[in-house]
Amino acid sequence: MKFSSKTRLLILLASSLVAATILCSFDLGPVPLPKVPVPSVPALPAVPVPQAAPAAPAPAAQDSKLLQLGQRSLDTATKANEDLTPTQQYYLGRAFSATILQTKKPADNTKANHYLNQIGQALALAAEQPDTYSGYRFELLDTPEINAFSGPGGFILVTKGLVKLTHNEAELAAVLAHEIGHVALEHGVKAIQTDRKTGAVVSIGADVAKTVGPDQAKDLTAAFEGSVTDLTKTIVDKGYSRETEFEADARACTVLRRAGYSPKALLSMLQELGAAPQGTGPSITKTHPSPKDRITQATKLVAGDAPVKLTPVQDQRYHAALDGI
Amino acid sequence: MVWATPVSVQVKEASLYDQPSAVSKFLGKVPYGTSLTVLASKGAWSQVRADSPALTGWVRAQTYTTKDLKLKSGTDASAASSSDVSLAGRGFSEEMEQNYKAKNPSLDYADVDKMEAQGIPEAELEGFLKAGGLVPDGGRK
Repeated sequence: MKFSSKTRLLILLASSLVAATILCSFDLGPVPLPKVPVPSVPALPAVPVPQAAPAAPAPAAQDSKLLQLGQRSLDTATKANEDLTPTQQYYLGRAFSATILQTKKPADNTKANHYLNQIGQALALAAEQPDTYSGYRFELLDTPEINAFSGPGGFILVTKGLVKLTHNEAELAAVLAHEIGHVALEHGVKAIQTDRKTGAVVSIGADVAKTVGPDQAKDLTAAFEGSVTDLTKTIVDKGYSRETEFEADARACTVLRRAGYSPKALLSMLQELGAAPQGTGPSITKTHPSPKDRITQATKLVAGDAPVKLTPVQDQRYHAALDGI
Repeated sequence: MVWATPVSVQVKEASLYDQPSAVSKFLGKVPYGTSLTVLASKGAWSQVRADSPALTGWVRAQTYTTKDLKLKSGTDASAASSSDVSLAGRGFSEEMEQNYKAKNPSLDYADVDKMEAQGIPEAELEGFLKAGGLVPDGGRK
């Protein structure tokens, strides 16, 4: 089946944005979406999709697979980056953040935000992808919900509810490292592959980018609008797979080790999450693996690591920045 | 990896250092689209030479791409408007964002701008890590 260049361009933009899935480690409640026109994308020929879930691997195989999660090479992120450039991720991340911030307002707390950015940006240096287009940024949201949202390009929003679950700098670092893991592993870009399975993607050459001119600007804008809407709906409704969340946990452990924090802080943070009262977030396990499952996996990941050890400086600055939020 | 042909900065600004470490002496920054010649590589770092501005130093390899970021017209990306540069990158541009904002005034881009302005200088990050007994540069020296 052949498509016109305009149609192919719309398909590319729609599929790229849908696939650049927003990353969140905890449940994301409904987010009002801007009412924008969604471009009509013609039906595409179906792509064969494996219908049956693979048989569960044996326990030993599961352990082996889990250990491999933390070893995913830079090649993966680099290849994905070829599909969605840092610039593209940047504008997508901004649009995503602007959507979230419509209803979840930022906490007016310069000190807390500065502290979040000190920890988060320092951690990002230890990530496989320390350099997004404009760098990683972190924002405290003024809501008791237990949530965190990571947009393409490194736009990471964390709720007061989640920050209040932490007890120390190491646990807060674990939360941010998990979100950085989503960005560094480019899980949004990987979601493009998921949408390929549904036949939503038609690949066109990267050189097409060079031929985009002002005549296509209007169509591109419409595609951008509709695709951001589709993207946000996808995230709210579907979330990431269990394996993807486990991958982010595994990457968080790597980042924490490199930065000098014990990754056992991730385990204790997950335990806090598991003990959090029901109702603090809307259907927290709806789109994510249960804390119990993540605790089981994280326990294996950090078995050989030293216990969390906090320095007086870490303790002082944590409380100075976050007490009373 | 050492590239025989020039590469291009693919982030807003790439920081150059005199050693392959973010805690070594900072030399300066080069903007998106700047052409670099890769002289040597060490781990996640590359030694590069930029002609404009004239700088030689080490950058993280992920800050550049082998892709041609020049526009079809031959205009150098570093000299083009940010809108044109982004438009060349499959159309996600500042111009498009402006249209999107105009049509969706409830979107909170003002707070996104504030969020983006919260960059921490790398020297401060180094101090933050050291003061906390942590590992500067994420152990990536």
